[in-house]
Amino acid sequence: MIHSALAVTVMLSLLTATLLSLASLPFAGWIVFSGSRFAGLLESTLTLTLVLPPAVLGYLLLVIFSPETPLGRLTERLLGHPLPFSFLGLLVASLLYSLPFSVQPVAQAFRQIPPATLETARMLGAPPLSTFFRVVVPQSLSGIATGWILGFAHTVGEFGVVMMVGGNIPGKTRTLSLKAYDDLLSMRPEGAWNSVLLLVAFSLASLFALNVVRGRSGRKDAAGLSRG
Amino acid sequence: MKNRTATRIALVTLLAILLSGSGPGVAMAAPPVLHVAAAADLIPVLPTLLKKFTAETHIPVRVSYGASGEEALAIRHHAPYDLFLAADALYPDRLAKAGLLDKSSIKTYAKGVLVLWVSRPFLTGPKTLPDLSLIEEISIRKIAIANPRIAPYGKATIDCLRSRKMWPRLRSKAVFGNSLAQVAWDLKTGSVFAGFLSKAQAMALSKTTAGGFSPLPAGCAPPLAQTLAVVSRSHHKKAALRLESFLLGKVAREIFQSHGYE
Repeated sequence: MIHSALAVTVMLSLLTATLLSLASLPFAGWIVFSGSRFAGLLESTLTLTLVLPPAVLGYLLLVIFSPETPLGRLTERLLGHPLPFSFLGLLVASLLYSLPFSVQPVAQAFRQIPPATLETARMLGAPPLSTFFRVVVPQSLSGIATGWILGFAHTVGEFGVVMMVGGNIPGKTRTLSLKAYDDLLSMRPEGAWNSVLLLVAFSLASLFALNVVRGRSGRKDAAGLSRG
Repeated sequence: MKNRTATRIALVTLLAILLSGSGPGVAMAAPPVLHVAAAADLIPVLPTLLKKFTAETHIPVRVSYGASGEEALAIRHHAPYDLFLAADALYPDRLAKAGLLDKSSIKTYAKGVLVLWVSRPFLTGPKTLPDLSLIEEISIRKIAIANPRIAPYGKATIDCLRSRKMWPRLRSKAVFGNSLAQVAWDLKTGSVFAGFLSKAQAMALSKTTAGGFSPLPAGCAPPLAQTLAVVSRSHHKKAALRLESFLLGKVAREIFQSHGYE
């Protein structure tokens, strides 16, 4: 059983972190560079799940995709099963839940790019999109990596959302954190230990990776400064 | 260099998406796996029953435990369960009325007994069993009760305490667990010394925790008629009905009785 919970957790976290890293580029790009009046509003909206209680987010998703709503009926017809209580439903919930953790570091990295750099690119005739992909993104790799790691770690540790939306189905939507909870309540603490140890290992590895990424970018900045 | 990184990211994503399409493996394996949504009071008895069932029929079964109300909510949202084992008759009835359970399959599979558990330091003599007056003592500061809004055993507890006019005095002592499982856990860890459990949970708890339990008087808390039913949307109704008739059969009845059910 530990294998299937581990498989669900790893698959869910890898997918969430990777998809969020991809999504964070346009989101953060628009927030930082668009100069739109609505950028602040979008940033607040994207950060909402940072403060929203996970169970509330889970409940909202259940309501939105309930079989009684048109959207719920539509997704059910398209997928052949309702979105909640499936791995895909878990993925959608995790994407929303971990969104701020992936977007914020990328937005921070974008903000730290000196305006002069962008100005130079513009003056040399680079179109905005190619400036974005050839100047902004390469200079923000450590921010993107940070976002990926945080998205991964945050998804591994999810509890309330996966409980509400996933339904704790063994082999399908039961993650390590749900398994730990389940084993404890089933008076099988020895089973919980495996999950707890794995969760601690994941968290430590993520934090270590975070430090490595930060250390690297720190050294690079220092090198850049001494050269400049 | 940059392009290669991008390609790599794209490939990993694609691979991950493809893999997720087939789900994380296990669940899709060849024989149909029955999914059971079960009330938390069944945690001590259901694994034994299902082991027997699977040995007999080669049908593997997976269980999600929770308060009956939690499982009912999940079924209302079309969770992919095949059989629902509730801790009372109300939840299955309501779901059947909404067309979510097969009405004809609703059967009482066991009668659950509500007990009061008190952990050792608070039991006065070595053999004394707790009775309701004990929990009114000042020394017992907290009483664990399953959430009455979603757990039938919790509701039965409050009904009993209300009928004895004890609830207004005890209300401030109550701590609510999500389900009976959490109540048992609170008692096991020693964070609470008194609580209301199913007899099955109390019997399991007494194997690891020093304490005593006694059933509430039948006039105060009549046995809970625990019912089961097949989920209307189940794709494995035949297997679900086999499990249902196994749980209603003689072998199962003996196992239920040896675990504290009537």
